[in-house]
Amino acid sequence: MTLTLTDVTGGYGNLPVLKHLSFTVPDGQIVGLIGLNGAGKSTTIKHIIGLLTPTGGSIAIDDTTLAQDADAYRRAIAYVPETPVLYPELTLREHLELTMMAYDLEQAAAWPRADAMLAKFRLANKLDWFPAKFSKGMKQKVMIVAAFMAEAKLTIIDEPFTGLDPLAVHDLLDLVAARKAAGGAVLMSTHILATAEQHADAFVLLKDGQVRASGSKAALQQAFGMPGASLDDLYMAMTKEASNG
Amino acid sequence: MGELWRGRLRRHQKTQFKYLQFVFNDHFVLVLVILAGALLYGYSQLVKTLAVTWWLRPLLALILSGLLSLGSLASLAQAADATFLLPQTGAFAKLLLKARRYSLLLPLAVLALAAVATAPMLQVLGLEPLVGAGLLALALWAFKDVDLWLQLLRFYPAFLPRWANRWLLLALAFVASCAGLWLHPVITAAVALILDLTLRWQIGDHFDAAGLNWLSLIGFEERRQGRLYRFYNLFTDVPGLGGGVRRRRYLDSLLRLVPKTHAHTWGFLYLRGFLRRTEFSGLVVRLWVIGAVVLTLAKPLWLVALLAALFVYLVGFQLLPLAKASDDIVFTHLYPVGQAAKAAAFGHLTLGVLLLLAVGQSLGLLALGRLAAAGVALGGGAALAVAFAVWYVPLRLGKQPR
Repeated sequence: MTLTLTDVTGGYGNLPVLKHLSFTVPDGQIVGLIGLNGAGKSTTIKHIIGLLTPTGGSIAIDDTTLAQDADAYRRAIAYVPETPVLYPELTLREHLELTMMAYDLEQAAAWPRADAMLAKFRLANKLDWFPAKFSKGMKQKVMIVAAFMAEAKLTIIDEPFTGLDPLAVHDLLDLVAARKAAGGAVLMSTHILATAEQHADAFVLLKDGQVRASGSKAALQQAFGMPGASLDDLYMAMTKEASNG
Repeated sequence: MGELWRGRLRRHQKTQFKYLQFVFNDHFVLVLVILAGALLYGYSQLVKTLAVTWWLRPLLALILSGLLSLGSLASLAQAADATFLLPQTGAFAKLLLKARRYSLLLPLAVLALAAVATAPMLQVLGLEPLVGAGLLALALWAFKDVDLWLQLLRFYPAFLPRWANRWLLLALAFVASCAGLWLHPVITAAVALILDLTLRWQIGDHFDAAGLNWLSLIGFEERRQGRLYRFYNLFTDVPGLGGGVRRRRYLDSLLRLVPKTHAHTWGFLYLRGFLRRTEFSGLVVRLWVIGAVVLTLAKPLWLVALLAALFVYLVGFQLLPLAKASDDIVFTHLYPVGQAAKAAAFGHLTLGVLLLLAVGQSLGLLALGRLAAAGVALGGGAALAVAFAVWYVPLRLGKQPR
């Protein structure tokens, strides 16, 4: 399974935000999407999940594009948005049931996975509550449980660590690692560079809607001509370029 | 602050104007004109034959003080004010004073009309109609002025004692109106003016603006605008108008109607939205009861069928926003379930609800033993339900861009 972006240009209306974006997220890899506020991280994700349509280039999961087979494409993606969004009329249990129905999961097989995650995030006793009324961190956990329960080929997480307590951050990283071990691909946009450096296999550094550099940490060091530099150093170097140019 | 108020007022009036255009559409204006004419005629006939009984004066006083309760303070305060204008709390009082003055306009016009309308009644009661109506208008204006001061000062909790609230004022207005109608309206006017002037004189000295209760002010304004927009929502779609959600555990047995399978993903969501979102289920129940009662009043069978169909259409039309209610939630677009299935699921729900309604609103006729009329109501309602769900819903939902 590979997510492939080829020469993607797109944005809102006539205003292009992304310019000729190309990168891949291969099977069994965690890819960190890194960039300043406004660099185009969320816009990139919106194009991948199909909320926005690129004006040029193509986005494919295993050679399938959204236009070719919308249901197959969507089934391959699980998504945790930056801001939790929940149906006000559904309980926590019903959110999970809806996800199982939408992704056509076997309920008998999906519930044990969900229960394990709910226990981990201390939500098991809140199944009959309306999660739309939870605190931000708890809502985020609901989104995470729903997304990881789907066991989609590609899991996309937008700014996953904000609002989570340190214990939950740990548990989330465990889930991400488990997805990777099971052969899934994970695309994760984040500002927490230390965590990204520790857990991601590859990075995509975005600057002004373009890929400034991508690949493993060694590849980034080479691209910036800074051998031995940390992700933080590389990020700061990119910021300076941005302000100069 | 003056500039801020003027800007907000302009935007507010523009929005109101936009929605009022929908409210006062051609049909509704026609209905209103006929209704107003009928009302005036009925009133003039009533006055001619009216005999003075003991309850006439209290009833009139009750109506007048009831009218007094109409009209809330339109502060146009916004939720963000509590953060951004917090340092300006003192100066914000100026905006509130302007808001209070603006809020007076509409109620004063209504109260003046009400006072004019009492003139023939005053004659029946043996009082001078013109002088009396003038004095009553003066009294009602002064009471309304006090009322809006009280509404404003509620947000400065330190200023007034707790017992000085609107209910006390309305009670006082009722008593003063009773006395005025028995003896002479000058009494009502005197009470109102003394109250108003005393309050204004008190405020003049220590209107301390520092103690503004931002949260209750904003909550009050949000509820006021919510009421307004819910009214507009009867005539047109008001974007962003979300009603509440209730758990309603007692309805959970109905949820079994939709099996938990991939094909029923949207049905699962819509059924819960319908049962738990207050704006939809509440509406159906209200119109069901009204429809059942109205149908019992109609005599000719063709009118029964027409009214039954009309109520089904009204409910169906009001249900349409449910189709899009979840569209601002990103997952509604991400789930690997076709969007065509979504329209079909909504059509099924609409059909079920409207057929139930058609049955429900014929129950009143059935209870009266008017079997033929009940059958006609059921037939008319069911025919429209099927036409609406099968033909109109797909047409309407298909036309709208995602």
